[in-house]
Parts: sequence; C-alpha cells; structure tokens
Amino acid sequence: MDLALLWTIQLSGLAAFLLIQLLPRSAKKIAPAIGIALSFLAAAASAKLLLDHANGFGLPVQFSHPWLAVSDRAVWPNIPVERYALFVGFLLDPLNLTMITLVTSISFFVQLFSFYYMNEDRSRARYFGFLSFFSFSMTGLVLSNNLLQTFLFWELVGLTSYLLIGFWYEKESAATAARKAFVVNRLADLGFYLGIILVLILFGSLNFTDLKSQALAQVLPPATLTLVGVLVFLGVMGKSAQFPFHVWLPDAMEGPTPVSALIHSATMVAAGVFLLHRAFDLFSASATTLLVILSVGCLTALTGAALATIQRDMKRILAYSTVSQLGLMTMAVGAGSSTAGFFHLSTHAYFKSLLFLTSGVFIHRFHTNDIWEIGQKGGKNDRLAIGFLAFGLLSLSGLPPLAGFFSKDLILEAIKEKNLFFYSGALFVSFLTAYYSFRMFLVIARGRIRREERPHAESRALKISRNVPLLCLATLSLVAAFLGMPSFHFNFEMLLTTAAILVSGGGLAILRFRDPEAAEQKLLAGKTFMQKILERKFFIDDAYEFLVKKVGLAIAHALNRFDRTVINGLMVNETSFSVMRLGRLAALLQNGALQDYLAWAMTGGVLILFAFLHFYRGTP
Amino acid sequence: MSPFPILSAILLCPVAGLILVLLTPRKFETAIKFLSLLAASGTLVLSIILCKIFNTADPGFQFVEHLEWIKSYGIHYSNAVDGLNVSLILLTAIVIFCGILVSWRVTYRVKDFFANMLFLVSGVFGVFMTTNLFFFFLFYEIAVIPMYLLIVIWGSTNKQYAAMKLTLYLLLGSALMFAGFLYMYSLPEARTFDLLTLKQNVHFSPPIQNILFLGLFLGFGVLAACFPFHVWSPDGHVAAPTAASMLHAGVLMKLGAYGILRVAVTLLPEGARHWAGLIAVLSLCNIVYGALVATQQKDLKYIIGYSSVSHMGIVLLGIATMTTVGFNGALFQMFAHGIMTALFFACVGFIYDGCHTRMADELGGLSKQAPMISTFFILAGLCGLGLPGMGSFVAELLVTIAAVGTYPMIGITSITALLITAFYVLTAVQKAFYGPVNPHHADFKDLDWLQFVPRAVLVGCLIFFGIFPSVFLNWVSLSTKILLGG
Repeated sequence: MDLALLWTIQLSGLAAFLLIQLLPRSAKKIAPAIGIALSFLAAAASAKLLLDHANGFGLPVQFSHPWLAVSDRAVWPNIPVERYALFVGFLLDPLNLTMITLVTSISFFVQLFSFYYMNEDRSRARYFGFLSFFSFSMTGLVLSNNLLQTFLFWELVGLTSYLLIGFWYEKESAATAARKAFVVNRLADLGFYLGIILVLILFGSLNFTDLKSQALAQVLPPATLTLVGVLVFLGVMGKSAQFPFHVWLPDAMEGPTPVSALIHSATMVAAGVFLLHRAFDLFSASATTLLVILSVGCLTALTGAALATIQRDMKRILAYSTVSQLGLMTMAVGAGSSTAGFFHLSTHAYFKSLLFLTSGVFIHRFHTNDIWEIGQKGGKNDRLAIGFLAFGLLSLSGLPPLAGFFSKDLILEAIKEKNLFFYSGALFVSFLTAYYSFRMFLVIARGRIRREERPHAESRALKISRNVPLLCLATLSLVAAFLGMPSFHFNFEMLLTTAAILVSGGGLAILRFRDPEAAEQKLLAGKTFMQKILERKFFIDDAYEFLVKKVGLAIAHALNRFDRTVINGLMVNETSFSVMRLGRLAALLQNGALQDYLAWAMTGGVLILFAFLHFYRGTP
Repeated sequence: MSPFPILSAILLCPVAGLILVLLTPRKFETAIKFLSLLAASGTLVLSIILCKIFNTADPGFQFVEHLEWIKSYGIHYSNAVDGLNVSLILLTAIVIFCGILVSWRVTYRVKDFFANMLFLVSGVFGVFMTTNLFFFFLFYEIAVIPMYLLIVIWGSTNKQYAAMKLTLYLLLGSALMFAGFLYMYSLPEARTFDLLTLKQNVHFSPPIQNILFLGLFLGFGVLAACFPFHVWSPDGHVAAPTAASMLHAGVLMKLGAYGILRVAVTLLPEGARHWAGLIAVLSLCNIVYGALVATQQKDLKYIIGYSSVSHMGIVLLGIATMTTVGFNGALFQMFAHGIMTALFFACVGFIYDGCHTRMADELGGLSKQAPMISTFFILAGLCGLGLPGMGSFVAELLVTIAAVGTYPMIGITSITALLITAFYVLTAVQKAFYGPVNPHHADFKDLDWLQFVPRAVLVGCLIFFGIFPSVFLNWVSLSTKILLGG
C-alpha cells in the first residue's frame, strides 16, 4: 500500500509533464487542468500517507533496488566488494513524510494559483509542464533513500529551476538570470559530487540508513570526515543560497511569481536544509563541520537581512528575506539542532509561499514590482491581499502566536545554548527582519494613491484560483506550527526577547516609513555610505564577475590562442608547410634543362664511383 | 560458427545497400534514399537483435565467424563480439540510421552521397567486429577514404583544408598502428594477425611492451583526438556535412579508443600500466583544455567540436585508470557521447540549412520560432553538461569514481570540467535560442515529422540508457573484467 502511494506521489508529476507534452497543439489549453489534477492527486496521496502513519506508526519504511554495480577491487582493494552497488529506492520516515506533504501541498496550491496568474500567457502549456516536472524531481529528491539519488534529483530540480527562471527567455535578463542560477549551483555541486564520490570510495555506502556518526567515525579519520562533510555542505550552500553562493537567488526572481513561491522560497531552496537534516550524521560526525555550517549560516542570515532592507522590488525583498531565513535554518543545524532547522523550514515554506503569492496578486494587478509604485497605484485597496500580506509578514517577523514565532524561537534557543556570539548575530537578524517586514508593509499600505488602477473583471474560476490557495496556505502555516512542533514548551524569557526585538525593529521602520512619500524623497536626495555598499550587494557579484571575466575567460582566451597558433599553427600547419617547402626545393632539380640533368647525373655517377672505390680499397 | 552469421549480416547490409545504390540510375533519387534507409534499417534491426541475444554471462567472444583467407600469413576474415564491441556496433547502427534520415534533404549528387555514406559505415562496422589485425587496418582505411570525399564534396567552411588535414592525421594514426601490427606479426612466435592467437601465443617482454604500447597508443590516440593531436577533429567536424559529422564525431573518434582497448590493452597490459600515468595527464588536458577552449568558440559546430575533445578525454581517463569501473565508464562514455554528438550535429546541421549561419551570435530567439529543434539541441546540451537521467551522467560518474580512486588529483581536477561545460553550453543556448527573435531568420521552419524521427530516436537512446544504465553495464562488465586479467 505504501509503495503504491509512494509511486503515485513520485510519478504523478512526471505523468502530468508527459501528458502535457503529448497534447496536440489544439488541445494545449487543457494543460492547466492536467497539471492541477495530477498535483492534487499527489497531494491527496501524501495526505493519505500522513494519516496512515500519524505519530510515526510503522515507520521507517524502505524500498531499495540495485541500479548500478560499481564493484571493483582495483579501486577498493581492502573492503568487501559486494557492498559497492549504487541503489535507487524510497525511504519513508517521519522527516520526509512531513516534507513530502509540504512539497505536494504547496505544489498543488501554486499550480492552482498559476491558473489565475498565467491566465493570459500564451506559453501556459510549457509552464504547467515544467511545473509538473519540478514536482516530479522534488518528490524524487525528498523520497530518495541515498545520497546519489538525492544528487540525481538535486540536479533535475536545478534544471527545472533554470527552465522556469528563464521561462520568459525573450527577455535578456531572464535568460541571463537562469544561466547564472544554473552555473552558480553547478559550482557548488562540484563539491557535493566530489563529496558523494569520496563517501562511496572511502565508506562504501551512500544509503542514509547506513550513514551514522559512529559507523562513519569507525571507518574515516576525523580530518576526512570534516572534508567530506564540508564538501557535501558545499552543495547545500549552492541550493539553499548560502553565502557566497546566494547571488543567484535574487536574480531568480525573473521567473513568474508562482514559480518563485514554489521553487525559490518554499521547496527547492529548502532542499539544502532538508539534506542537512537528512544526512545530519554526516555533518555532526565532525565538530569542525558543524562550526563551518554555523558560521556560514550566520553570515548568510546577516547578508540576506541587510540586503533586504534597501530593496524596492517586492520580490527581491522577499528573496533576500528567504536567503536570510535559510541562513537561520542552517545556523540551527550548525548549532546541533537540525530539528529546529527543519521545523522552521516547514513553517517558513507555508508563510513565505503565501507572501510570494500575495506579491503575485499585487504584481498581476499593478504590473510593477516596485513597492512605492504599488502603494501609489492603490495597493491598499486590495483588502484581501493586504490582509494576507500583513499575516505573512507578521509571521515572518515572529509575532506570537503566528507560525514564524514558534520555529524561530526554537532556533534562537538552540543557538543560545551553543554560542552567545552567534546568538547575538541571530538576534540582529531578527531585528532586521522585523524592520524590513514593517518597511515593506508600510510603504504599500500607507502610500498616497496617485493613479489608481481598477482591477480587471475576473471570472469566478479565476477568483477561486486566486483566493483559495492564499487562504489555505495561511491556514496551513498555523497548522504546521501547532502540529509540527517538536515539543511544546513555553519559554518566557524567549517571549520577552522576541517581543522586544519585534517592537524595536518594527518601531524603527514605523519611525522612518510612516510617510512613504517623505521617505522616498529623502532616499532620492542622498545616499549614505552604508546604503551605497548595500546597493552594490557587498561587492559579491562584482567579485564573481571579476573571477569569471578577468580570470576564467582570460585563461580560456589564452588557451584558445595557444590552440590556434602553437598547436594548430606551429605543430600542424608548419609541419605540412615544411614538407611542401622541401618538395618545392626538390622540384627545383626537375627544371627541364637537359644540361642540369646531365650535370646531376654526372655528379651522382662520380660520387658512386668514388664510394665504390673507397669501399673496395677498404676491404682486403 | 553460429547457425546464422549475424555479424556478417550486419556488415553486409550496408554493403548490399551500397551495391544496389550504385546500380540504381542517378535520376531515381528517392529510390536511392529508400534503398539506403532500407540498408540502414536492416543493420539497425540486426544490431538490436544482436544485443538482445548477446549472452551477458559469457565474458569471451561470441558469434565467432571464421573464414580462412591467406592462411600462410595468418590473415583471416574473422568476426566476433564481446562486451567491448557489442555496444559500439549498436551505436554505429543507430547513428547511420539517423544519419540517413537526416540526409533526406541532401540535393547535390544524391547517389554519390549515399554511396559514400554506406561505404564509410561498412568500414566502421568491419573495424568494430573483426578480430584480425589485418582486417582491422583494412576496414579502417575503407572508412577514411569516403570521409575525405564527403567533406570535400558536400562540406562547408574551409572544407579542402579540413578534409586534407583530417585525412592526413587519420592516415598518420593508421601508419603508426600498422607499424605496430607488422612488428607483432614479425615476431617468430607470432606470424599471424589473429588477435586471439597473438594473445595466447606471444608473450611480449616488458621493454617491448612499453615501446609497442606507446606506438599503438599514439596511433590510436590520434583517432581518439588525444591532446595534443586533437586539432583535426574540430576542423573536420565543422567542415563535414551533417550526416558525416554525425558519423565522424559519433563513431569514427570511438575507433581510436576502441583500438586502445581491443588491441593495445588486450595484448600489452604491462605496457598499458606503464604509460597509464601519462595517458591520465593527457586525458586531463583533453577534458579541461577542450572545455576551456570551447568557451571561446563562436561557431556552434566548433563548440561541439571542442566539447567532443573534452568528452573524449573522459573516455581516455577511464582507460587510464586501468580499472574495471574506469573501462566500463569509458565504454559507456563512448556510447553516450556518440549518440549525443550525433544529436548535436543533427540539430546544428538543420539550423545551418535553414539560417545559413552557425554563429551563435547571429542566431537568437530560435526557441520561439522553432521550438522542436531548439528542444533537441538543449537536450543534447544537457546531456553534454552531465545532467542526471542522461547517459553521459552515468558514464562520467563511473569514470570519475575510478579516477578519484586511482589518481585523486587528476580525478578531482577533471570534475571542474562539469562547471566549464555547463557554462559554455548554457551560454551557447542563451545566445542562439533565447532572446528576441532575429528577423534575419524569420522564414526558418521547424522540423517536419520525417526530420523529427531521427532526433527523437537519439534522445530516446540517451534517456533510456541514462535511466537504465545496468542494461549497458551488463553487456560490458564481464569482458572488461577479463581484460584486466581478473
């Protein structure tokens, strides 16, 4: 029964993708229906699975099948060879049961919302096809029972992300952002790939159930454990947009907004944190790895939050906020509490996708991403959207008793136990979060309306497909918070700290942005030094550009010159030219003048005669 | 001898097709095309049957056919398959089938074109299935000559230079290899060209092995575009007509790597071990250098040409590891790369026919205009950058595992090519297929169903073997194991 359900979840996305591809051109308009129906099927199957295994009953379940034999005594002289086969399979345990429910449910709501958002787009079929393929890859990643299969689907979600960021590929910026996302992820994945290969070679199994701290520590020396852990973590840094690989995520906002909600906030970018939790023993086996994770997480959280404070583009604010929240989750794992990290992942997934879809409502209606413009065009008149925006932002900044409060508190507690330095960093991140959340809300909600845009007349189906997902995601974020909490407890000190941060961050934002018009004037008038640095994004993008253009491509250019001039020119062409020159020289002998021929013949004859006489005399 | 000589049948299909094409009058162009297609389909069906009935539990030669020809010199017409060549025969059959279909739009000297194609492919089949070194050489020469004609007559872009360069290079390689064959023949205990007899009767002393292996490796290495003997291949690919590029990059380059395994490693294992380090270094140059140079190319065909150099490096690296996993990976990469490049060239050829340019900058927006051909090109590109689910991923994974296990530094460095490849493939895709539609190519038409079929077949193969790699590994792994004497 479980297996059937798992296959249903796994394959429904692929089925939708293939069905949509096979549709004849005249029937392409039913593509959304196929996508929505099959994503509903997957969500229903995972809900059934969740109910079947409520309270972790009968878990974990594993189904495994050999895929590829790589046994070879030459590579592994000392270890029994039978173990070296690569497997594919499902592993179902409480962790990915939660995750798969999250992925399939958000997928479904985003597909539903996309019906409204992409209603006027002519390439709708392609869009829903890719979205379904994403669901397929993401479920594969979540259900996988070993590192290699995870990597396989890891790359496939990267591909769908590439295809969907570049969905409007006629736009130069979209095509460039898509390529950037793929290449930056690839860079990080090199480490992941190498890490997997090292684990396979040195440890002999990639199965998550075999990767246990003790077993690892028995086989591998501590330095190798750290190396492997950090290498695999590199992959996480790419996918979960950790510093300094976070640069692709804000640019990824070139994709359609529902895509940002699904892939670039809730599911795919969370895959890294999911893997941290999934293979936690691989990382926790070395204290150094955990420290690296904690530091990277802290740096990411700070960078993301700081950059979110000055953006004008609604989606970019949310994107940097995602970066910062992912940093917090990573910090939790680094502090040794992967449960807290994962809990925040699940609540964050719901309220962040809610926020993105809400921003989609604004963008769809006002045709701009700029929060000031949205405010001036009458953003506050869309009561429903404003309500959801407030709900999402308050969740994000951690107002009790909304979703973000519980999970963020758990993380703060975990970090506080570990290290006070990082704790203060995390507190500052929370402060900045409250600040940019309030700023965004105030600018939209308190804008003075200049040129109001009337909403389009919308059919009932469109209205349903717009509002139902928002409502459900908001509800689910609360459900996830209350049901998913690892252990209920009430920490009064934490409550006070959070409240103080919320008040001070929010208060500062109110102070500065209670009148958005004036704030904008002030902003245009002059920029402080800090603002300039923030606008250049801490020069990280510039550093990448320098490395790629001035270093990488310069080397490639030099090598290309070398190939053309030295190898092709000197080695190949010159050889052939020399042969030709030699031939031309020899051809001089054959000039048609009889006297020359005679002279050469005579010379030759004399030489032969001479040699003959010489040797004749030499022999007795 | 097996009741039905299936190998000879595979070989005779294109030969029979060739004779029939030659007998058909020039003006019946459609008949010529159908005859060629019939011959190619025949080999394809027979090759698939061969793979089906191939016994994966037997590491030795199967379907042995033996016909004595010049007994006193040990020259026999003898064919056999084992794990090393069964997949390559299938590869050749797939590529020629698709190549014939892709060439449906050839209009200039149709009869000569298809005759040359069939002649070429007969030679290639011969090389892959023979177990006699004399015939190995003979069939190899048969394959080179029509390639020259195909490029010179139907080619483009500096075709005479490229054709001459390619031919000279290939002949240089074959001269080296033939010298090696003759030396082996000249040994007193040998006096035969038969591979199996040589393997059983002759024991080469270590210094001889070292010298002989180096000679043979250089000879075969030229064909496999080993650095620094690679420059013939991008130039040749660019100049050749579409179907010839497909065969050339897809199959002909594999002859070299196949020869290294079949002849050099089989007969001279000690020599191979001796030089393995050098091969590994050269292959690393292929992989990284080829990829870096590819980033600088503007012509789509040059990009693919240098990517071939890079990907053939993976084959050589797999061989250099001298492990079963590495050999399996190398053979897998030969197959996957063969299909992938064939697909690449099939796409670029179609675009060139329609747009009259292959410069990535001068194209642009093709995805909007011609979604099908763009999708095929992008799929080939994804396979090239090692996307899981495509054949190349598994091949590269196996080679990388073996390489990291045997030469850690080289193995780790070779991984960087994954990044560089992703960069240049996606840049080319962005330039040629994304962005606004270029009005110069407004009348460019997408694939019709006839042109759709061969490309779909190639993509299907890539995905099938990417998802079910053990089908392939079952063919090869026993034979590669005995190659190392285990």
